[in-house]
Order: sequence, then structure tokens, then C-alpha cells
Amino acid sequence: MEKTEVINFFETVLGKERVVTNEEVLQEFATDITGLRMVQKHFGWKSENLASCILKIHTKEEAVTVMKFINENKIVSIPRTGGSGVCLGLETPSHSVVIDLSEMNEIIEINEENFTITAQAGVPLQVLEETLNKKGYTSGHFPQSLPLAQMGGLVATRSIGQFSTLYGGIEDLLVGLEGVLPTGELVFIKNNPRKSTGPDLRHIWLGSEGAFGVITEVTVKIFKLPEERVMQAFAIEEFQTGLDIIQEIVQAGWKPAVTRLHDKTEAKESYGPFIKEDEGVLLFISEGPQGFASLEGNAVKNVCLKHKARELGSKPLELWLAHRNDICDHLDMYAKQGAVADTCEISAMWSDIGKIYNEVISRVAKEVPYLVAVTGHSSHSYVQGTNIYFMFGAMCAPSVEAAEKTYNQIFGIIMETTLKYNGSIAHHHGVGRYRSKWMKEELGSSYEMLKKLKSAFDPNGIMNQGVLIPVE
Amino acid sequence: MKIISCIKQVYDLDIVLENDWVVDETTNKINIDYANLIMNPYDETALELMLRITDSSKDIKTEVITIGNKKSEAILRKALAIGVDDATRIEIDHELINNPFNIAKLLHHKIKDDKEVKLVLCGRQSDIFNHGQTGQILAEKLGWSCFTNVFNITYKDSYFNVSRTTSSGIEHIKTNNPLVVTVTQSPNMFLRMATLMNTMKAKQKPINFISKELSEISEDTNEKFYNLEKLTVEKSKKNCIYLNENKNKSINLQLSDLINNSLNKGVK
Ligand SMILES: Cc1cc2nc3c(=O)[nH]c(=O)nc-3n(C[C@H](O)[C@H](O)[C@H](O)COP(=O)(O)OP(=O)(O)OC[C@H]3O[C@@H](n4cnc5c(N)ncnc54)[C@H](O)[C@@H]3O)c2cc1C
Repeated sequence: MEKTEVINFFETVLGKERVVTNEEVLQEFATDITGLRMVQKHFGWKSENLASCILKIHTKEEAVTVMKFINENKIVSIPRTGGSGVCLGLETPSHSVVIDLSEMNEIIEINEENFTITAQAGVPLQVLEETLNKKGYTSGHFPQSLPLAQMGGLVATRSIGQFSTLYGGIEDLLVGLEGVLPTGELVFIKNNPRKSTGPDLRHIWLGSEGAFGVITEVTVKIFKLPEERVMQAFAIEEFQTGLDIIQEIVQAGWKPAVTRLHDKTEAKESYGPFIKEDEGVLLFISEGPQGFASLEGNAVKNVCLKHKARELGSKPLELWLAHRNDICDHLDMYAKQGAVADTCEISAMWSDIGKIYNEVISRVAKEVPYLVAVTGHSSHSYVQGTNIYFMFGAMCAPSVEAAEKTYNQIFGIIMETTLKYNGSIAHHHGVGRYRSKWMKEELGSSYEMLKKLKSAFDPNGIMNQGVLIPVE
Repeated sequence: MKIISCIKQVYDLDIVLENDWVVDETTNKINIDYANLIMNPYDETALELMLRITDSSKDIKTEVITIGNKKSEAILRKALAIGVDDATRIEIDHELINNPFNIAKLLHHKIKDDKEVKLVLCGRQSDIFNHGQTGQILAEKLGWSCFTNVFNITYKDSYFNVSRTTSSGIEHIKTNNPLVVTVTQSPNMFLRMATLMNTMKAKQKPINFISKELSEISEDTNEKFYNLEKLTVEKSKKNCIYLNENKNKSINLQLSDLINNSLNKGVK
């Protein structure tokens, strides 16, 4: 079908003003904010593959009509909400169509009896959280991208927040959902506290990254704002001691909402005046009903002191709370300095996570010629293991190609080391197009299941083609 | 030829929490010791400008100078790691240098006899004290010309081309040397990053050290030092007002009324 015919159709359904074809905007929507693209843009990168148009969807009925048309005409389409993805999940193949749900942004219901909130896909998390706070509730979901991300994208990427050890990731928070399948059917998963009715269909959508359809509405849990909060920081000499402390705390059954371990480089950068040379930092926030937080706080403190951690008081936590999302205000700060910089989060069992951390840090430092820094922290812990969030920066010759080479080298080391120790290549940023090349190795024999799911839900392979499963 | 950049270590004020801006009545200080020590942001821009000059003229020597205690060597090492040739620390009792005149005097003493120096860059102001006068006083003492609010400077055919902001626009000046410039920040100018390897190497490099009693270099020993009598913190009040288009008044008109009313009430 001719491009003009396609656009004409969308204009009849949505109206001219909601079908965007302006080239500058298409260029802006041609990617997400993956670190690689940020620095490449600084070196002059522009996408050669622009979408034909961006569709500003306002209702689920519009989504249904659009999806049916797209499927019949086999047009590749990219669902999108906040645009804060960091794995090239929003890159537009040429002639594709962006399905932008960010203007579907109404909060539909706060149910104070069942403790849920129902919101359209384009509701910004920050708006949702502030609305809940006014009524004495919280979503318990605080990703660093809180000022940027929206509900649809948060579900589609299997996101997680900084208070996850208590509240869980989005998979623990999602109650019900409404979406449109690639073939145009509107489907609804009703709200229930738990059920035993076959596979949990919510999990098809959680982490679907736009490859299985479009999420139009979600219902998530809400919680009472905590009555009490206990904040405490500790200094430790070895990263492994920090991991051991966290392991002991969570395996004892405690769930400090914020449980973070920063390595010595990060600790010096953010908490320098509190620590001695080469010390790492542990941060804990316990919160909940009156009495609970102090009880948990005491237990946390006892474990830390047993491992000879040094108390630093609550000030480091006050600083962390105030500044934890500052990066959202200057996302391109490192790119503007010509540095290839990004983050990469992986997870592994307790038996392996320390090995991955050590090997990545030493390999990157040894092998990357113009490295500025490589650091790591653990920020989401479980009874069985934890994540490491690596942060890296390196200089390179000022060209798109050199940036890609450096980026691939560092990312490659992290992916390779993680897989070597049976870890997972993505803890919460998702796969996108960038990490899809490692998916076969990540999933092993279950890769077949993913491929079968994809072809069952999206027989024409039009939905966000290239994410999760690479285009062969 | 040699270029000097004067740099200062300051607290990272961006980190300081709103509620901590409280003056301790007994010490006349605000306790912000928990903030990291960093290079004064204006000095960072000045330093980057110096390095950009030498990127294209390799035979120019560069030096950074700081006045401060042993801790302040961290910013000198950072400068060495990104390519500055030499670093000098002038140590002096901190209480004596809480004013731009004495700082300029120390810098002057260090620079005056070095005939190689053709350009000195200073930040426009430092994040602590904010006097914004050091560069000008230094130029006066050296008897050199001085350009303030500089956001770019290049070197070509023995001349410096200086770009500076003024209240009415931007000036581009071609000038002879020697000269002093005070540098302002510009949104897309960041100090380059040091690679890990160069950071390690910089740890081994020597730093020139000068220990001074101010009286040693003072022409007038009876000179009165500044004395900070009282410090107060003025909390700025923030308010958010939503303007809605309405039939009687456009948003533009509402905004201009709002600004005029605020100015009448003494709002800055
Ligand atoms: C500074 C920064 C900090 C971050 N911190 C965190 C963090 O702490 N935790 C975390 O989990 N992530 C974090 N992220 C990553 C990112 O914010 C999350 O992946 C977020 O969930 C993306 O939401 P979004 O609305 O911006 O989605 P988008 O970027 O718009 O889309 C992301 C993916 O989801 C798909 N998608 C979007 N909307 C829909 C929909 N309605 N239906 C179907 N598919 C859809 C897209 O096709 C794409 O593949 C961070 C990102 C940045 C830039």
C-alpha cells in the first residue's frame, strides 16, 4: 500500500492533527534514550529509517481500528508511551508507524476498598504517584525514570522501582490489564487477588516490549503511605561483604524497601565525605506501619554490625532521596562531553553475583583503552540473588562508528560474563533491539517458547519487529 | 608561551539539602561538610577553554594554580589527568584568604616574574563567597588588560580572539597579550573527562608547592583583612501559578500583569 493511502486512512480515523508526519518529530521519535544513541547524536548521528507517521491514539476503539488496519496491511508498528526506554526498543524501521499512547492519560479509578488504581497506558507514573499521595496512598513503584515513564511502558518493559525489595517489581504490582492484540482483538484480564486458571496471562504482557500488542489500560496495587521510616547507612571495606550482608538480611525474611550496595567508586563519588578511602556504602530504608520499620531497622543494623560495617547515620539516605532521580534532568550530560556512557543491569543467584561483579570490573578496566570509569551497585535483592547495575563511561574518537565499537566492547564484556555465570542479561531495562542478539543464549531451550508465542500472537510479525527476537 | 588557569576547590552546592542552609550562630558558618569537594564550575569552563587552545597549538605550555590545603590537590591532579602540563599549589592559612584582594595578591606573586605567561584564565566567580573580583584585581596588579564574562577564547597568529557576553549582547574581540580573562559558564561547555589510565598516571606526577605567609608578600603590612561579621540565609519563596487562557485576558497579558505586580511588591 502506498504511504499516502496509509496516511489518508489514519487521518480519517484520528483526524489530521493526530497523524504526525513532520520530519523533525519523526527523527526525534526514531529512537529512545539508549546511551549509545545519545553520544552518537552528539557525533552527528541521524536515523536513516524514519517512520511514516506517528499516531496519537486517544481511545481503545481507535487502537482497535488502527491495529486491524496495520495487521491487514502488514505495517510494522512501534507502540510507545514515555519514550524513556534504554535498549533501542523504540527504534523505527523505515515505513513503520509509531502508535503513541501518551495522550491516553486518564486515571480511571482509585478503588479504596480493593486497594487498586486503574489508569490508561499514557498516565505518567509521577502523576499517578502524586494523585495517590494526596489520598494517603503510594504505588510503591519508584524507578529512577519516575519523571519520564508512563504506565503502559512500565508494564511492557517489566520495570522495577528503587523500593522494590518491599513492594516488588511491576510484575508483583500489576493486577489486571486491557490491551489490543496485533490482530485487532480488544482483550481484558480482570482484577483478582490470585487465581489458578491456567498460565497467568498477564505475563504475556509484562515484558512484551510492544511485540505482542498494545497495552491500553492497567490496574495496579496501591499501598498506604508508610507511617514510619527508618533510614540507615553503613560503610564496608569489601563489596562481597556488602553482598553477604544483604543476602543474610533478605534470607532472614526482612525486606528493607530500599536495599542498596554501592561499590567504592560510586561511594566516593556520591558519599565521599562520609567514608574512608576505598570503602563501599550500604543504604537501607525500612518502612511500613508503626513499629514495623524500627523492628526491621534494628535487625538490619545487627546484621551490618556483625559483619563489622561502620555506621554512617541517616544523612547519606537523605541525600540519596533528594537526588536519586536528578539524572532525568540532564540525560545527555555525558554525551555532551563526548563520552560513551550508559548503564547495564544484570542479575544472578547469590552463588554467582560476586564473581560477575569482580570479573566485569576487572575485564572492563583492563580491556577498554580509554575507559573513564566502570562501577557497580546492587539495588534490587531477593531471597535467591540480586542484581548488579553497572555504570560505565569511556572516551573514543568523535565518530558514530568509534562510539558503537566502544559501546559494543563494554556491553559485550558484561553480557558475556553474565552468561558465563548463568546470570540474566537484563534485570529490568528489557531487551529491546540492542540485547536481542544475546536472547538465544539467555533463554537456551526455552527460546523456542518465545518464538512460538510471538508467531501465535503476531502471525505477520509486525509488532515492534526486532525487539526480543532479532530479525534474521 | 604559557597559559595559566587559576582553579579553586569548592563544596558541591548542588548536593546540599534545602533545609541545611542554616547559619550556625557561634561559628558563623553553614555546615555543608557532607558535600563532596569539586572544582569550582566556572573554573572548569576556564580550564576547558585553556585545553581547547592547546588542542590546536601544541607548543603552548599550560599550568594550573590553586590556593588551598593538601585536599585541594585533588583538583590539580584532575587537571593533570586531562592534559595540563604543570600544577602548583599555594598553601596559606585559610582565614587570610577569604577575600579576593589577598587571593589576587598571591596569584600575582606567583605569576608576575614568569615572562612566558601570556594569558591567565580565572572563573568569573567561585561558588563560595561569590566575590567575582579576583581576575580583575589580578589584571590590575599585573598591569594587563582584562576581559570579563568570557565564554570562548581562541589563539591565532599571536592574537587572542575573545567572545564575551555583555548586558546588550555579545562582543567578539581580537586582542594582543598578555591578558587576564574571567570566564562565565556556557550551557554546552563541559570539562573533558579523564581516562582511568591518565587518572592513575596523574597520581604520580609532581605538584609544585609554595608555602606563603601573606605578610611575606604584602606591600602594606597594616592592611586590614576582611572580617565576616554576620552571615544570613535568605530563603527564596517558590510559588507556582497556572495561567489559563480566558476571554477577557490573554495569557501574555496575564503574565505581564503578574510580573509587574511582583516587581511592585519588590520581588526580585
Ligand atoms: C534515567 C533513566 C532511569 C531509568 N530507571 C529505571 C528504573 O529504575 N527501573 C526501570 O525498570 N527502568 C528504568 N529506566 C528505563 C525505562 O524508564 C523503563 O523501561 C520504562 O518502563 C519505560 O517506560 P516508557 O513509558 O518510557 O516506555 P517507552 O520508552 O515508551 O517504551 C518502552 C518499551 O515498551 C513498549 N511499550 C511502550 N508502551 C507500550 C504500550 N502501551 N503497549 C505495548 N508496548 C508498549 C515500547 O514499544 C518499547 O519497547 C530508566 C530510564 C532512564 C532514561
